[in-house]
Amino acid sequence: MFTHTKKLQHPAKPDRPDPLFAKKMQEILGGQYGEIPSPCNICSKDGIHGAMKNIRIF
Amino acid sequence: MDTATEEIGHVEMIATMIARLLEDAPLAEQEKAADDPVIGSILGGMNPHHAIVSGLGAMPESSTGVPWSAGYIVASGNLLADFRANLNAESQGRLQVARLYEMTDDKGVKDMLSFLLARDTMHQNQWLAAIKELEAQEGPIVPSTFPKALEKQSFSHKLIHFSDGGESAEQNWLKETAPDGEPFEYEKEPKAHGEIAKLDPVPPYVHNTLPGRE
Repeated sequence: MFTHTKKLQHPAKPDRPDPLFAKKMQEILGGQYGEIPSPCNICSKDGIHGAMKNIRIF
Repeated sequence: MDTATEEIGHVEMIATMIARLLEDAPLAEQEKAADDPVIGSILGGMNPHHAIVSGLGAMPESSTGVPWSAGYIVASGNLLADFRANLNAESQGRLQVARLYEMTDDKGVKDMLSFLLARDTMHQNQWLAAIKELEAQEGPIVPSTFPKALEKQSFSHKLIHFSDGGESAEQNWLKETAPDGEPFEYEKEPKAHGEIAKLDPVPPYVHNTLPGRE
């Protein structure tokens, strides 16, 4: 189950628009090592975490 | 699931930052390059997808526009293998955030990146700790459950010398016990253990080049 809070975890306000940096920042969002795969990786493992007595569920 | 849920929040944060970086982008670039604001922005170097596809919002793609792929997900059912993949992901991720930090003077952007750097420090720490715990239980080699007797054990700890010079024999770790507790070995002259590979011709209906005509 997931719940959603409308507030961001940390502020995300640039001083000024910068479309070229927006393009660069795409890497840490949708690149191979960006933030999109991380929750997918971890959620996919949740089913087997239960089998491990001593490993905490991240 | 704490980390998975947190990182969904990071997707939200970065997507918000990207959208704000794109605010007013077409108009700002308009004067510089062209009459059409979208064309002007693209000529200015922005991602055409941001202008044409997402309407100044973030896209599920890399900095060069490669679409995000489900093939990036690592979930094998073996926790030690997967935790090491997670550790690599957090390491590559933090490296990329650090490089982005060096590429901008925007204080607001740097502020958010410094938060991501800190969380990636924590996430590397937690995967390292979990890997240590699993290794203490089952040893460092994945999978730990495959019967040793079925593995060609004479090759299991051998560094084979395939390069010029003799430096490879001098490596410090080679003189120590391997992480799984066995001694390392060194083979100075690599041996070919097989025969010359000779393949039979494929059937004529595949229409490969005929033997002898290569």
